[in-house]
Amino acid sequence: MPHHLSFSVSQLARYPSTRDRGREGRARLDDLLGEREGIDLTIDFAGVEVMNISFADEFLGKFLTSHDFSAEGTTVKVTGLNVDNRYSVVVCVERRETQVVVLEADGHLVLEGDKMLAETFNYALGLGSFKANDLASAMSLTSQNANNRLKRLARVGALRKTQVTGSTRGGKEFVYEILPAEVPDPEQLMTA
Amino acid sequence: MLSTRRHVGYKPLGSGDTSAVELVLVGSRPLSEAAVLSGEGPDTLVIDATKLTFACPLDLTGIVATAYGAASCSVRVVLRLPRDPDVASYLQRMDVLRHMPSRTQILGRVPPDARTDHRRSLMEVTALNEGNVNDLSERLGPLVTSFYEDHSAGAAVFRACSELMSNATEHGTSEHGAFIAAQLYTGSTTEGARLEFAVCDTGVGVMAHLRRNPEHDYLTRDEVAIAKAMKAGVSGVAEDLRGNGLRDVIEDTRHYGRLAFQIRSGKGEVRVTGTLSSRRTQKGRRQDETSGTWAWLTHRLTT
Repeated sequence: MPHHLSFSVSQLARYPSTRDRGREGRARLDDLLGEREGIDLTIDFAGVEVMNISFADEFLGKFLTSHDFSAEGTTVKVTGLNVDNRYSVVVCVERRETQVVVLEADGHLVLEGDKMLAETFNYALGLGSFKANDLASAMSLTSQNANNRLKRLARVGALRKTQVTGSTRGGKEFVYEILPAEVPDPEQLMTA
Repeated sequence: MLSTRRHVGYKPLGSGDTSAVELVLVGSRPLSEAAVLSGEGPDTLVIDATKLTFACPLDLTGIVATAYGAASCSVRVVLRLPRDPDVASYLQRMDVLRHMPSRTQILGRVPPDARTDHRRSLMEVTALNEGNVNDLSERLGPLVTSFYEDHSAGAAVFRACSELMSNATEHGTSEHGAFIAAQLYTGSTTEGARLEFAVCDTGVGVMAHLRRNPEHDYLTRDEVAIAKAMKAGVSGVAEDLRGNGLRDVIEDTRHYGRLAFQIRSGKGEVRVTGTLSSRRTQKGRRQDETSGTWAWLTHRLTT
């Protein structure tokens, strides 16, 4: 059973704009995760009026690229973005060539940072819990291509990847699950 | 900042040379255009603002940064206040006098420090350092964003100003510090509605910073180094994926109005003007020398 964690960025500043502040925020995020596995992490930007791209890069861009979330069974999404902060997030993930899932105000999940992976993520949303071959069939991809895309999505925490136990097929087999499209009730949350 | 050593040859007090050098500020925005130093081997820097008729944030921060540069070389600083009482009051209101180095001699009638609350239209000359940059961002953010009806325009200009502040504290640090000031003009009396923001640091300068990165250690001209620093991915920090700050300053703000952006450092200067549909960059050599980096951003919503 995944644990839900939420990190409120506004605790750092309403106008975060230095790499130093970004490093501090990233350190707090890492402390929050600790050695835990199987976490659904929500990074909440509500209350942040404007952040600049240097802060976004140091805080979020480097956080996303410094973890392999698939190995930790962790999912990551950001929420509470106004249009201007979303711009900073998109710029920073594109420059880092990474991706991030955004939980929109209307409850939809969108992947930012790569068009091909965003399309793949949309297919995955429709599948819910699935294996690589399911995605390959849905998108008319080779199994290898589907596996490569899923590996990248799981690495940035867009999907949870779990090894199938007792598989009758040769080699390792994985089930992918889409991350939850809501922030749980406060009593279920560990926050920072 | 104007040269403190090579160009005007400051000497420590007690050298036997008691001459002065004068920085004469004439007209409006003198430090953005030209500032000429006269005199040789000074023990004293006289900043003569008696003929100053209008001061922009760059003038305000530049006066203070120049004074600190001189004081750091044990040069005595004298400030002659503007004859125009309104301009003198403005220097007082913007905390120029308060931030001059200790033992600065002020000549002229010092206006009373009567101030009304202008937190929504200006940020006085303020010392900027690593310890207060985040607090100053929290002050500058509401000031800038509330000036624009379009939140995205205000956000873009704040991102630009905060990148310049961040640069000054990250790359431009020195024991003499950096100074910022901002002014929002409604345009009722001067040149249309606009925001002006200046940051003057007394650090190593753009070229010396870039040369820390072996990729850029061939640079020998300040104006070339400044222009290069405005391109994507150019930084003195060798770490990958840095060096987009100045590019973002320009590209972000010109999408929401008319930008005039000036950076001077060492003997060089680069001016960029731009709108959504145009961009013009002018590189030049200056007769004076700026030790550290001065940046001045003016943004107008009208195109």
